[in-house]
Amino acid sequence: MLEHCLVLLIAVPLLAAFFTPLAHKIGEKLRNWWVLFSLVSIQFLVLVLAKNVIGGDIQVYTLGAEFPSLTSPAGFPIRIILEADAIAVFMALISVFAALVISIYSLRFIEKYKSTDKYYALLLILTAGMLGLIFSGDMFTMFVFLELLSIASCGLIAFYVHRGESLEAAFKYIVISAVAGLMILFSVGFLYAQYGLLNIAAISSALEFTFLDIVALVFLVAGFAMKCGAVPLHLWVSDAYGEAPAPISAILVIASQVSLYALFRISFTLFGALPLKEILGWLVIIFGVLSMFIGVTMAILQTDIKRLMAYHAVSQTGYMLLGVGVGLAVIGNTSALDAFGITAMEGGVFHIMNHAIYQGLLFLTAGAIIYRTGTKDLNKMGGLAKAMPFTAIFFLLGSFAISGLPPLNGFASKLLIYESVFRFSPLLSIIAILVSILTLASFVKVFYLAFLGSTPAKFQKIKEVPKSMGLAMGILALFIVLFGLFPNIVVDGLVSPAARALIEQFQYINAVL
Amino acid sequence: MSILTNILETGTGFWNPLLGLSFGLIIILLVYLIRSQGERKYKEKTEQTLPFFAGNLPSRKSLKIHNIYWGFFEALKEYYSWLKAVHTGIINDYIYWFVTVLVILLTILILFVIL
Repeated sequence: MLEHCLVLLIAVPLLAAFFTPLAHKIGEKLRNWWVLFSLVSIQFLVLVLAKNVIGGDIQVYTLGAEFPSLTSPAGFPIRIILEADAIAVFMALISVFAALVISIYSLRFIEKYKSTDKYYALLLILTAGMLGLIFSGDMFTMFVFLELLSIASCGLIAFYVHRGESLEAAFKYIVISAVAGLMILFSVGFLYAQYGLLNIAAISSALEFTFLDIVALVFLVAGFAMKCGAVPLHLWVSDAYGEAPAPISAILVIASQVSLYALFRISFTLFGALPLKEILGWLVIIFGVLSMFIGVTMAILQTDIKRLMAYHAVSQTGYMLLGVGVGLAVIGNTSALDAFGITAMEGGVFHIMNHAIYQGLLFLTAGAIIYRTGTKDLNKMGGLAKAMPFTAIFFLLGSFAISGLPPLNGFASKLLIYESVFRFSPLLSIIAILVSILTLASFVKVFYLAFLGSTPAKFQKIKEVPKSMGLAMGILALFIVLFGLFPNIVVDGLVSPAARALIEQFQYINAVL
Repeated sequence: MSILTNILETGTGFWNPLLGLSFGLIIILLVYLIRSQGERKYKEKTEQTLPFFAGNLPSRKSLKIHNIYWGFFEALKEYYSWLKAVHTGIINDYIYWFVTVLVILLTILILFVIL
């Protein structure tokens, strides 16, 4: 089965998505079990793949070939090739885990609405889109799965079809996705027109540093920067995250991180051979610093809990861009790379995982508050800690983690970033620490407004959220604590191989050619 | 794994969460011990709870949590007026920003190659 693991990882969620409405016809309970079973199966497949790949092997799967490892029968790759290295498996683990937790949370969260079958079908299609984008070995397949991801996300953002704001947010999302997708398609065209190749590894080894290559690089960087919500291309994030159902906001965070992964794959692997890595690294750093600062300063202004968290998601993306950007900027300088570049990249990559967990938890706690109070306006809330003590504790944990307070997971990854980036540029490190302080200041306000003070009369009788929602939040809270207490195990076992997979582009290329 | 080997290397230093947590617990214990030595005749909801009880006290109802950020917003007033103006919520503006970024990136990279 291991041989076909890669293709199954995309086929299973796609098939599960199409069977979900059929299962729904038989009964909602069967539908729920079907969705959960499908996601558990996918998680199992990712773990099987991870066991093989994290050790340093790269697995490839050639669709339609006589046997899956036959990548270049005519001397160059001509078929769709899926490729899994440590960073790809790392992203897949996060994506599927998040989809599973969000499905558990959604069982009760969306049960009062119609079209729940479509909700789960789209969630599974979104999962397939993320996995397809992660494992794509060629540019056109990457574009196709990016479109799949975007269309499924758009449908999920518009889930509250009775609300004009949700429809507008979905419209904005599909417009920016179409523009970003078009730019990515143009760049694929530019590369194909020059080299007659679509495969990432093959293009990377054939690049001749032409003007069109630079245009393609710019289109790809701008397109994926828009999709991952880097400032100043972040304007859609608050609309989409703010208006989508809370669990969908949490999975949209992961979808954005998958685009971030694509940006890193482009920068390190596809264009890794070009002598532009230092300037490209600085551009990624500038995106990161702008995202960190503008994201958090916008968040402090907000009184809508979902929009506030959306701006924090933008701000946290900045840390990942900063960490990995520093690694990219010094990749040509072996001594600097060994001294702090690899640690900065480990910090950035570790932050992807940590951010997925604590930002997911924060969105789910926001969903719990909205589920019980029916409002997103912080000024209308108050005193909820008495009625919802578990939600309050989960929120506190998420807030402390996102603010980088020890001993939680956010601190571990931020510490790696602070210390390594300081050796690259002390100013960047100081900005990163300042942003963490502002993040804490913002969450102090949210905790006070939502959970402390007197309870408004209309919220006197509210109760804690149902158990399945509490379980989903509890799982994420548990990982926040575990990854905070034992960060070295995660860094050594998952993060370090993932960061090194990005740096060692030749291994990725050699696996195909 | 022992408490001393659970170390995250940061390149320039290290972080041991379990050791940090142990120190935190010791500090909490110390704080509790110091607190337990305090005045036992303390009465809640009396003038004992006020730091000062002379003068005109401001009404607590007029103070909101947002007020604690007043100084921050006042100091960054011009930055915030620009920031709010940028976040229009209009899709055309989103695309203008995208085109602007495209032009800037292209200019920087081409200049870098030429120079």
